[in-house]
Amino acid sequence: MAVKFEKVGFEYSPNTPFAFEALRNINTQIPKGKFTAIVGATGSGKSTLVQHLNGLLQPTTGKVTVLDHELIAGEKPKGLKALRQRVGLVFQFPEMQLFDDTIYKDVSFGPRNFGMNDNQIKVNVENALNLVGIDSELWERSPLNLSGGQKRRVAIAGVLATEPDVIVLDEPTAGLDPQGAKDMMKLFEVLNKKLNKTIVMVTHDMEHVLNYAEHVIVLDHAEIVFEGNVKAFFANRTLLDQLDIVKPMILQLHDQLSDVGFEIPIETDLENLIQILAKEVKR
Amino acid sequence: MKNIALGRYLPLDSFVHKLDPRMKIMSMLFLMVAVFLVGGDYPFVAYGVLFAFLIICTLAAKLTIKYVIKSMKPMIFMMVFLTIINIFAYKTGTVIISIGSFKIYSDAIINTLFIVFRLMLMIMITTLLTATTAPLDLTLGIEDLLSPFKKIGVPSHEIAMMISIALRFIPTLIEDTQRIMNAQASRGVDFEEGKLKEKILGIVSLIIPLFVSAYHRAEDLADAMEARGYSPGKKRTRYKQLKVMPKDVIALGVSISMCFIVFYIGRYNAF
Amino acid sequence: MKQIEIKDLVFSYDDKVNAVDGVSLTVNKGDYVSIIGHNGSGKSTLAKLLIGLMDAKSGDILVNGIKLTYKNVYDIREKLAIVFQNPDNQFIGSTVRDDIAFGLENKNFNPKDMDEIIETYAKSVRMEDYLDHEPSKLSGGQKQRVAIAGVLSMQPDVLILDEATSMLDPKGRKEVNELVHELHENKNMTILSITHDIEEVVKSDYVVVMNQGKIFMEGKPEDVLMRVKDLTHIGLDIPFNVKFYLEMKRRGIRLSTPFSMEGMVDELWQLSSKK
Repeated sequence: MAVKFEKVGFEYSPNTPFAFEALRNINTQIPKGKFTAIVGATGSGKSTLVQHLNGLLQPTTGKVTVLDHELIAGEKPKGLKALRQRVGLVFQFPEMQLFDDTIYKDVSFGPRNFGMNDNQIKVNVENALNLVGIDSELWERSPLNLSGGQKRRVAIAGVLATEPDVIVLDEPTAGLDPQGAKDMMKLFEVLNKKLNKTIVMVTHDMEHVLNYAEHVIVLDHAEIVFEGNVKAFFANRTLLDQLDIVKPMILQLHDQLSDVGFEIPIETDLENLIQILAKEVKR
Repeated sequence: MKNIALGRYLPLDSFVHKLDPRMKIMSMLFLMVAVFLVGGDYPFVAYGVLFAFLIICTLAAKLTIKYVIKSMKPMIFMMVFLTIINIFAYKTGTVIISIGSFKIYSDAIINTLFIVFRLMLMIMITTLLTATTAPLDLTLGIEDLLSPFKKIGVPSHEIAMMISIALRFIPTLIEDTQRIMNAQASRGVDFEEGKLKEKILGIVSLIIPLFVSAYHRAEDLADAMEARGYSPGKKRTRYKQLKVMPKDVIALGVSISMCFIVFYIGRYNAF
Repeated sequence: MKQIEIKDLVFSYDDKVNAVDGVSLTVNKGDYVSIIGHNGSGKSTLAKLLIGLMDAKSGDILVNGIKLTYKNVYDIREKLAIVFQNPDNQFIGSTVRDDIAFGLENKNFNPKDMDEIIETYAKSVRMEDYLDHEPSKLSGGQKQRVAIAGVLSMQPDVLILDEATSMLDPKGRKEVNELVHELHENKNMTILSITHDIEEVVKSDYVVVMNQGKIFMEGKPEDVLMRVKDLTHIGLDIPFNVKFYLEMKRRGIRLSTPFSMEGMVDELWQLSSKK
């Protein structure tokens, strides 16, 4: 397990009139090396949950274990810097964090803070920039003069350059056009499948959940209401209705086909589904 | 942030809260003038009268004396500093304290008290205004009071618009700051500990993105305002209207009278 | 009736590349027009040119037959309302009430009449219970609805939406899209929607596809969205139903309603039960 939450609760502004319970009795695990999606309505506690993954927040009750770091309620956390190198957190609209003179320098900011030596920094920065698809011609340019999509990729490179084992993404495709979103998801797939990174992605996009995630954790009003594999998640009609979640198009199609009488197994690939369906019709 | 008393608005329900902001601003100005009119032979009687009056106003505003004292806390350092300077600057009058060759004179004490009292009274007056008047109402008041000066080129409406937009965006920019801090902390910045050089770089990594973000917001906002028909300098009406009630005039009258009272006490052996 | 006419419009940000490169388009009164294209294709630039936020290098824009010039730009802005992408950056007032009032103040409405107008338009976007809320207490969808109320109070002829839902969560997107459709159906408002949401495009009357500053294709959704090769070539999405329809066709099964999943599923069942 990459992450373990044990009886975790989190309250903002405790003991004040503004106190707000954002997480309640969270008991869950995030598997290592897998692609986990975190799903829930705005305000359900998703962002609060993921900010525990790199120690930005510490639980007000319970214990969070990330890799081999422990965050225990009431105790002062140790080794946060080391934790933040191993767990990279990419916030929503990450392009907001860009500030340095050149793209190269901005991407080296993280590695430099974590004490990597010059050689290591060079290798990591260049790898990261190549991975996200920013051409070397641009590396000496100011990060603030790029297109929105490019800026976002530079920001992500800045997190990848520290070589984290776990990469946490908070709605990484928000505001991107369909092609940009597709390219971004392909990048995360590579990170997960080829480079064995544990990916945790907070998202509202059910198509992405279906096509890329293996494991799903669902939050509703500060509590976990489901955790399991993607298939089980989409099969749970009561849960989806309760949370007003719209199924991906291919599953909606499948529902309609079963409703009229077709008996076809659930497929996540459209071509496969059509192949089976065509056979059924032609028979 | 929540512990700063000076300048904060407290949404209570008092007589003073309900007064017209323009009257309150003008009253405040007259009271400040009164503070500086204190002089003559019985200045401390005048100060005493002013303190008593302001304490009555404070209680009428449903504020506690404790709160007012809290608002003076930031000034304590300055008051101590001034006291020390005065002790060395004024060497006239009778000797009050004598420690070996080091002497403290009466004029030093009197002068220090003058300055300290004035500071305290100014703080009490300002706190009274800001605690009882919502920032937006203050802005409306400022706009109206400045509008006669439009004739000599003071852009009263534009100033008020700038202030109200700034106020509207404070929570938004605070959120942006938090977000950027989180992002940079995730990249290894330690905002609390570390060497000076690291701390400076940390602050740079916070300020530059914040400015960039604020600038983009400003650009977008300008487009939106223009698209909705706004043009600085163009005539426009105002949704929020202020109305002067008799009680407002009375309040202003009282403040103006304080000026006269304070002027005469101490100068003409009133007592 | 021709509501908007754009003739050979050209605009450049840096005098090197034309962001809008000779665009000509006619929008008829009451149409729901979607404009799609990759980021940087000129869509938002076109919207800003329409309301005169920027000056075109050459070409003309006519609204209700009148040419847009720097002299009449304020009058034109009364007819064309625009809602931008970022919910925070177009919320000017300190509360919902104040924000809706902003437009009325600019038009020199009598302050005594404003309360009633504000309440009417807040109701039309279902935000009447939030009139004294500050923007920091509202969701993205709510802020965008307030933005719509704010511009509706000017009683425009055309509502331009510049990716107004792309920063919203699914709930907010649904709220705004439903509201826009209501306005189109009930008030016969002309809608110009710049969007990435291909499923929204299916529901519109007319589609304009932009690419690199030019209009690449335009026409009814039924026609444009079937030209899959062209759309994928310039990096755009294809509606799921169209993908399904074309795959079926490829396997020799011809269906008749490529835009209705229900229709196609029923047809398939008919075909299979006939055997």
